[in-house]
Amino acid sequence: MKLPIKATGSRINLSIRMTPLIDVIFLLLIFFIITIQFVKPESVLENRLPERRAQGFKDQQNDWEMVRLRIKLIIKEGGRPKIYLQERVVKTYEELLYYLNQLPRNILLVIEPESRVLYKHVIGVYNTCKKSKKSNIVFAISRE
Amino acid sequence: MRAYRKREWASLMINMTPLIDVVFLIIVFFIIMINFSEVLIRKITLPKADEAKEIKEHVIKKITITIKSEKFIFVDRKKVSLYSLEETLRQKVCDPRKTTALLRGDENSPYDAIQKVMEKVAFAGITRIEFSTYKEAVPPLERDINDEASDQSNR
Repeated sequence: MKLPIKATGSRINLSIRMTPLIDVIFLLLIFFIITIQFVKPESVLENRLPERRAQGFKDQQNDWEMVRLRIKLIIKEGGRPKIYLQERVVKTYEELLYYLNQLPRNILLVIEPESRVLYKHVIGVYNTCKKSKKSNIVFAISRE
Repeated sequence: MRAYRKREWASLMINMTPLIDVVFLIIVFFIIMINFSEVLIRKITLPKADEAKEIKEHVIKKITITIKSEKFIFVDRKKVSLYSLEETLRQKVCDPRKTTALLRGDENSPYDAIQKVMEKVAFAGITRIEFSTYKEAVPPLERDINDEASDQSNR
């Protein structure tokens, strides 16, 4: 820091050079603008996985206990997903909801997506199943 | 005639150079210390689901699994491989029946990766899972060109 060389009772020019200060502040500002990330609030869709037994996974329900309905998600040419409700082709989530609403509430819905299907489409189907107020929705899991 | 004495103006100024040095030092420190796994975890785009519920904060034991792809799996903030996921979960979870696994999967990742993680979670004995989503309307399915053509012919 430069100190007054001669303080001979004369007027002292007290000035702070603002330019480097502004430079630093702008630098910090740019750094924070670049690194800032706004966090979107997250929500959850609940599900239960099958319990594991000694021999492998337990069947969710026996066939004679509950009606089982398969919802298959298959990738077609061009990467577009196609939904199959049993053998019926479903074109939209709304159509799927329409059919699901006609089914009893305790029906077991098994979602079987093909491995190449994007996760967002699986969640889309699961969300539709939840919308239809079905309580038994499971994801097919391999026994390997 | 009045004689004026020559006044000397002293320059009292703050030298900014060491300040800038310190600021740069702090910036370099933060750049080095930044946790890139945290950045990767936050870069996930979650799928949208309007039926999703708010996250229950009172759930005592919750384990967060972030899945970008098969190669980018994080348990809480630690990167793990799919191979070691089951073992990591077993070590982290004391009581699997009372634990909830929160799956944060990227919306554009193939279901294959999510399914494998779900299998590992089930193998670790955890039965309660939650899919993390944004509470927004689900975008419609991309329609097949053949479907659109058949719809037009029906009209």
